[in-house]
Amino acid sequence: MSAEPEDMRCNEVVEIVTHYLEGALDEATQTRIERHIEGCRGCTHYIGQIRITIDLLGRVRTDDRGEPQSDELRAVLREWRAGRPSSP
Amino acid sequence: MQPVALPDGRRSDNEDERALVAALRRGDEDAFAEIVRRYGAPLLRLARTFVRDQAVAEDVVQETWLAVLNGIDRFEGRSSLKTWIFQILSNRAKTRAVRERRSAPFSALAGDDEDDEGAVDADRFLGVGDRWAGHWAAAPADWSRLPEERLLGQETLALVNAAIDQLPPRQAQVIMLRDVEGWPADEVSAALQISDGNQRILLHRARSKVRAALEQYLSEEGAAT
Ligand SMILES: [Zn+2]
Repeated sequence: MSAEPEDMRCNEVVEIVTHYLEGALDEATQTRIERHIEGCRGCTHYIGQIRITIDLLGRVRTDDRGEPQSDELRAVLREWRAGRPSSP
Repeated sequence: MQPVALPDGRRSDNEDERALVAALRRGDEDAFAEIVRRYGAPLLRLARTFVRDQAVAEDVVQETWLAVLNGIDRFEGRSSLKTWIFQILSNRAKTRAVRERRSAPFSALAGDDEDDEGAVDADRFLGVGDRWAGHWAAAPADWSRLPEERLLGQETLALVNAAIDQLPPRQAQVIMLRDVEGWPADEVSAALQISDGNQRILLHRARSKVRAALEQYLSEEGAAT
C-alpha cells in the first residue's frame, strides 16, 4: 500500500531544498531527491519558486544608506587620527 | 593627503582590501569614506535585526566604525576586512540587544528563532491515509510564466523587503547577508559566528517564509497557471 521506502515525498523535498541547492546532501539523498524532482511537477515548480525567491532577494536594495551619518563619521575619523601616536 | 588608488570594481578583492587596510592605517579619509559607502547600509540593516530601535542601531554602527579604526592596526587579514567589520558589528549588537532587552517589556523576548514549523503549511500536502500522502494536494504555480513586470515590479520587491523584516532576527541576519548581499556561506557563518549547519538551517527557514509571502502575494491576481 505505502510508497517504496526510497521514494521521497514532496513534504520531505521542501524541507531539504536548501541543502539540495547548497550541494550539502549526501549522495544517496541527492539521488533520491533528483529522482523525485524528475517525476514531480509540483516540486519542480516549488524549487523554481525558491530560485526566483533567491533572485528577487538579490534585487532588493537596502534603502538605508550610510551617507546621513558620514559627516559625523568624518569627525570620528579626525578625532581618532588626532589621538593616535604619530604615524609616518 | 594623497588620494588612495582604490581599484574600482572587484577585479581583485584581495588587492583592493590590502590597499584599503593600508590606507586606513594611514588615517586616510577617502578610504574610510569608501568602506562606509560600501558597508554602511548593510551594517545598519543588520544592526536593526538585533536592536529594533533605529537610533540604537545607528549608535551600534557608529561604535563599530570606531572599533574598526581602533583595531585596524591589529587586523591580521585572516578573515576578509568585510567579514571582520561585520563580526565587530554582530558582537556589539548582540551585547547591546541583551542590555536593551533587560529594560524592555517581557513580550520583547518572544519570537526567537527556535520555531520548527514546516517550510510549507502541512495542509498543502495530501494527508495520512491517502495513497499519495505527503505529496502536493495541488501543485505550486509555475512562476516562470508570470509576466516579468509583475514578478520584478517595485511592489514585489517591497513585499520581499517587508517579508525580511518579519523574520525572526537570526533568520533575517542570515538571509540578508546570503541572499540580499550575496555573500558565500562561509563568510556569513564567520561574520555571525555561527556554525555552517546552523547557517543553513536559518537560511532554509528564512527562504521558505519569504517564498510563502511571495506565493500569497502572487496568487492574489491568479495570474499563474
Ligand atoms: Zn514532489
